[in-house]
Amino acid sequence: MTEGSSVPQRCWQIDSSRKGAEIIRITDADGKSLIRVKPGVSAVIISSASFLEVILEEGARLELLRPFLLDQTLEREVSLSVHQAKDSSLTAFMVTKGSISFKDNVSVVLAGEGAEVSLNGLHDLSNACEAHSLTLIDHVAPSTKSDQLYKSVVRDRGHSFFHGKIMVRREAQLTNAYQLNKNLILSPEGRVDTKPQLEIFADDVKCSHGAAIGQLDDDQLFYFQTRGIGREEAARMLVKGFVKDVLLKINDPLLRAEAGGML
Amino acid sequence: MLNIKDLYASVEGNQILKGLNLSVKAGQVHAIMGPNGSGKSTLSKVITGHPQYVADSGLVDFEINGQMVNILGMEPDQRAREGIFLAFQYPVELPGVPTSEFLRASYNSVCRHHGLEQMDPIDFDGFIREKMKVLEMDDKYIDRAVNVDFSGGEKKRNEILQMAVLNPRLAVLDETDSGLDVDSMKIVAHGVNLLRSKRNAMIVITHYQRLLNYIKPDIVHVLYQGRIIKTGGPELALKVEDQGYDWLIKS
Repeated sequence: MTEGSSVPQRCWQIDSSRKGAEIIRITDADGKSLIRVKPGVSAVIISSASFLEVILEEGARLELLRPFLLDQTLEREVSLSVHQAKDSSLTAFMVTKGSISFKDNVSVVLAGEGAEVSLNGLHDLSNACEAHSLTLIDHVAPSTKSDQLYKSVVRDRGHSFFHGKIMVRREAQLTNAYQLNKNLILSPEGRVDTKPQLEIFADDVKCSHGAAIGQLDDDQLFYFQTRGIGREEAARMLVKGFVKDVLLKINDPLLRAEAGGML
Repeated sequence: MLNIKDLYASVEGNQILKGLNLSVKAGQVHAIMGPNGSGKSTLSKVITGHPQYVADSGLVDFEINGQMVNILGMEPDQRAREGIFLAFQYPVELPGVPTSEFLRASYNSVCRHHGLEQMDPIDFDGFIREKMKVLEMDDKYIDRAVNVDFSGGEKKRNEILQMAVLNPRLAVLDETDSGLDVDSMKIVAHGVNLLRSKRNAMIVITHYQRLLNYIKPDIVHVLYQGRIIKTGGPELALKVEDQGYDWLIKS
């Protein structure tokens, strides 16, 4: 939404004439797309458009899935930039699986009082895939809320980067911001870099962040094995368990099934 | 069914078992008692194949298809599929893995190994609820992640539930009574007793005689410094309860 940015190629206006229950698919892979959700309207959208801009007007609600199956040979760079008006709500999911490098730039401006965002990422990386997730949540207005949960499963020589920045402006009192990045490394060569960053200029706020990097636990694997379940199946079930709480943040059952089906 | 010969075993370079001999026949319940650090838990881990517990020498022979086979080279999951079960002293939590899915995966992998029919989720749900009733477990545990937010007592019941699902030929119960109040212990013991039969055997490892009032052993062993120093009938457990281990250690 910065001035001087070029005009999006395609604009999607979501108003009350759309049925709230149906999933809207926006699949233009290249170029820029703009989604504008009109006041008070709720929508569920799946979009793998590379450069996506979202405007949520007052009281608008959006559940957005960004699925990226990285089976092409080219590296991919995508972005999502969001502008939220008063009392709007966004729940977004970035789900990537694959073996080529990937960069996702997400920025959310909580411009209106009471705006809320839940930003979630699931990455399943294999081969020598590098995945960069950069998030910026800008709390501009008071009583805004952000909640981020990013999880990576790192296989082979995969490398996951997470850089999450939370900015709380002077006017944004009573901000509530939470960020968590968890990583599960399944191979000796897998790598993870995680970097939280908080910049807080208001004095009455709640902000917290956390990061964790782990491997499959020997005692857990042994427990599975004593029940007749081999190490490979045990690892599959533990990975499924690791990503489960992210999937459970998706309210729409069809959307959840689509995201879960990718992994 | 199980024949352990002159077993020496170590964990992290410390030798814990030092020449242990034990022979268990089908239909028997053996109790193993002993002071802290005598090697009780190590024995359970070596029988079931925990990778950190290394057998330095000796044999652990287990009857598979009518033959006695040294199982020390087998993976823990292979041993489990052949009918060896461990009820853990400290059951492990598996976040995000639903109890029902875990139990079904376990049951089906054993069935697959023996060429038996596997169960679909609906049939398995009925099967598991029956077993839970016996252990007076609340249905809500079916959907919860394995052992996550279970009380100490519920974790122990869950171990016996898994034992009931797999119906193992040899069950090793490692301090199943620890952390259980008397009422829970009675329920758990009842669940265990229902699984006793002529075809299977149990090794009950315990600190206290208390549990043996409810799970009556045929043979009682006292383990001390990595060896069995005394074997007797149920009266041995009562004597230990009464007099402690000192009289055994000094003699």
